[in-house]
Amino acid sequence: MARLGKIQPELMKNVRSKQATVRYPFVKAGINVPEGLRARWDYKVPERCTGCKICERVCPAEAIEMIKCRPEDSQTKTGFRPICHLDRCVTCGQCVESCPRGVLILTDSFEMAFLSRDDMVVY
Amino acid sequence: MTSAGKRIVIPPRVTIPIGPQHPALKEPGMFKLTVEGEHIVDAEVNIGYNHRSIEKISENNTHLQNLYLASRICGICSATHNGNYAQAVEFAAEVEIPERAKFIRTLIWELDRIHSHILWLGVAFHEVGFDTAFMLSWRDREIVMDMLENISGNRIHHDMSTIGGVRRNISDAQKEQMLKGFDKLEERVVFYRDVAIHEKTFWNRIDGVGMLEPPIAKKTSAVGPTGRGSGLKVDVRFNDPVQAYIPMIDTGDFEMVLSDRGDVAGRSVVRVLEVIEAINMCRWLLNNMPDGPIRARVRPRIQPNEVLARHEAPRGELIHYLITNGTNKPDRWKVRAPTYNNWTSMAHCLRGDYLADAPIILAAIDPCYSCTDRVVIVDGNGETIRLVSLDNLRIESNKWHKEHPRRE
Ligand code: SF4
Ligand code: SF4
Repeated sequence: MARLGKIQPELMKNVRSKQATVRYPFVKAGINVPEGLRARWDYKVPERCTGCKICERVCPAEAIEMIKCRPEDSQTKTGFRPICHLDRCVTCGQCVESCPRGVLILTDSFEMAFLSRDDMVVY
Repeated sequence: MTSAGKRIVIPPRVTIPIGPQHPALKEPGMFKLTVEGEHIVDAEVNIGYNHRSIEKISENNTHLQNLYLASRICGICSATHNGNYAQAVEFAAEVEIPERAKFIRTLIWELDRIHSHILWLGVAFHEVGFDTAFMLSWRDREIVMDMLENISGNRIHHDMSTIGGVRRNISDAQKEQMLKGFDKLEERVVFYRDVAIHEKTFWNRIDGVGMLEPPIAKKTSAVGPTGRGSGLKVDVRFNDPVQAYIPMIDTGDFEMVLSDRGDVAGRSVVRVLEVIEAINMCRWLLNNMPDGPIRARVRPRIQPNEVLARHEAPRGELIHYLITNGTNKPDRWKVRAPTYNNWTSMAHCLRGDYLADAPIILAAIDPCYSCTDRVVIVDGNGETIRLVSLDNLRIESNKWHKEHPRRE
């Protein structure tokens, strides 16, 4: 009789084992979202922002743009506030690290597919 | 049929282009194989379809921004480029980073090697048509991907190294979790080692295929597992250790993995055994990690200096050559990725083998095309490809940068 190869016993084991993948867009349970995942940019504590533009200067992807504070924003000292263009952001987290006032964070919401670039601007 | 009717057919020489876009290739590259029947009699390798001008972009970026750019040179070995650039800047600034930072940086490098080699093994299984093992090995690669994601916050672009140390610490809970993960991973990798060596489906396709004899490997300066698979003792971790490799190698518990086979099988065996070695290295790093700070302060302006940083990436020796000029931007940054060295031996490996073996021979050096691409200017309208001399390139790129200024 032909000897079994290395892989056949493994195959038999896998017939009965649990599925390794997740049917992702339909089922979200079972996705590994670790604590500290670097994903969507967020302007977390606007009141503390001074508008110093450090975040804009350090961003390697030129994803942060400083705009004039709109009436509904909390007003910063220099009158500017950052917005993030998600289509350019590479989620490196350098802005979060460099912000002297701890204003920015990267949240763990990783679903960042949009139909238009306009939807990808985070205010 | 009578014997008189029998015709002897001499197969004509045909040149088959593979690429730039081809199902057997994962990235764009162009191979011209001249075949006689099924035998490859000559091979020509052309690369340069994926040039991204990273070195030029870097001259307009600060060192801090270049870290992230460096990491994006390659998706698979992002940690190596990122860490090696940080190391180069630290050499130039002549600062010593904290011990714990060295250990964490080395740990990320080794984890990167584990996932890169398992990925390669899966690709090798796939290239010879053994897709079951491909799926299984990639499933188990998730163990190390999850570890990297847990400690760095990203699956692919870990971006852990920064100038002066690392960006995130490793907690005790993470350490325990990783040690547990390594036990499971080691069991699986030992199984894949046995599959690679004892499973005839795979072994018969790689045994004696793509021979690269040691003298030729030496002449074409093969590096990494390609060189070690031909018995060359080339491994920067052992020959010229940096970071936490110094105390680790000094323990004498670790050995360079070598094989004198010289064929694709040799390279496969080296890679699989290296994964097991890397798992042991990671365990040692975790268990001996000193306490303390993870980051030293480095001024953004780096003194004028000229340095060469070497590191053993998963594919071989990686060199970053950096000239700093006293500002916070580099004067020149040159990357020599390992695949660049290994290409030279490719034509020799292909010659004399069967056409059907070409994909696995190409895959056996674990090529990373985009790390490698240098300047060619392709004119789509005139249908020309031209190589440009450095002086002309400088004039042209200065012109381009004048016309496309950086957003202020
Ligand atoms: S977010 Fe931080 S770095 Fe950016 S402008 Fe505000 S305070 Fe400055
Ligand atoms: S995470 Fe990185 S790329 Fe994204 S906005 Fe911040 S600095 Fe820029």
